[in-house]
Amino acid sequence: MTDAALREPTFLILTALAARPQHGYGILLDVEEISGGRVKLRAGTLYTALDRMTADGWVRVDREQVVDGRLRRYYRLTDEGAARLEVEVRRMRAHTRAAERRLRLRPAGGTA
Amino acid sequence: MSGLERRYRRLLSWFPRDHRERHGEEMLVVLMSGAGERERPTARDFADLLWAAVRLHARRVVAADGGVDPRDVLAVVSLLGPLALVTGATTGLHEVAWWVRAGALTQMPWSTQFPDAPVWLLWGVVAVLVLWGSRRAAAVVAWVATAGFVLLAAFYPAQHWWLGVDAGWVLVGLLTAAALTWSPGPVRGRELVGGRAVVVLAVTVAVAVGLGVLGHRLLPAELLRVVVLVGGTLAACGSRSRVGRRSALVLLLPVVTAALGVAQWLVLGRIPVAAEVALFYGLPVVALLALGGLPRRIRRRPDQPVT
Repeated sequence: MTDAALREPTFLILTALAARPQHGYGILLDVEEISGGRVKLRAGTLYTALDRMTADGWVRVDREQVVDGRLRRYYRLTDEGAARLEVEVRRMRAHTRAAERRLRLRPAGGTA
Repeated sequence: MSGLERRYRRLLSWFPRDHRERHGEEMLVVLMSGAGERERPTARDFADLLWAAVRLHARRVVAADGGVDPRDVLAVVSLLGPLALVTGATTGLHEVAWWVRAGALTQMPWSTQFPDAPVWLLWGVVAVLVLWGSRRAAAVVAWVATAGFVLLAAFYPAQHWWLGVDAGWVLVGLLTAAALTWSPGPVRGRELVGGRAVVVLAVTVAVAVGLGVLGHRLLPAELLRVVVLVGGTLAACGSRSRVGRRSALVLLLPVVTAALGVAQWLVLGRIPVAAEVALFYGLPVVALLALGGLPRRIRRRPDQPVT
């Protein structure tokens, strides 16, 4: 498993699936909510990411439903995907702590 | 169907077929759900779908989507490789035919006219052993035949251009021996391509050898031979499946290196031996690795069978 930083859409999609399985449109809405409205994924980006994450074993199809004659497919995070997200969260947390420590050391009033 | 749906369907038609079959309807629902009252896709939708289609196609070209399992490619190679390699005897068989026509076969100096005969004979034995189901024996004989290529290159450098246009035979020999030793083997290969593939390739080899013997150095016959080899190998491996197309690419390496040889003479002329090795061995291997024809660390989709 690689520990290279995840791209933001990948991180947000994994986060959207962390608590429960979701269908494609649900993931798009959830990603927007998680990012505070800053990231608005589109269908092409979402399904390219799902294609890659499925190949990597991080995500898999949970179930399918037909609603109003239309297929709705739910995706869920695999254990491997959850572990990868956990690694990313730890990495981001370490960076955040380091940034906070450095900011506290910064002289008050501007440039040194 | 609304105009918007029709337009989205048209945009989705740019996606790879397997992706469209698996996700097309689902993507359409997502697109329509997010469209609101719009009647046309936005420019951002257009750009997003176009870019996604390009990326997905690119991933499939290099098999980065995991849709091709190199072990399956090698399984097909272990089944069909020995048979394909028999085609390499064509030049020598042309010599034999000449001496037969001259009524002097018994006087033919085999060591100069057809020194590589034992190697091609060994590949014929490997083909029979594979069809017989004796995989272990086939693997042993295949390694001996591959070592034969090296001996021929060392002792008869003028007989074939082993470092140049004939590098494809050595590569297919090596890959076939490796496939017989380490891949899931001919049984899996037969599951993937069916028994019919062996018959199709056998006919292809027979026709190609016949054209090579009877039409040696006649341009129309040589061109027809290439067409027969490419078409027959693709038909045998299955041109509609990605595993089949990559298996065919492996088996057609001798055609690829021959074409590279022609290109080399036309463009570069004579080049140093090291450059020849890089061109005729390095380039095909890099291409096979890039196209997913050789083993590497790529996962198969857990929810998708290999196609």
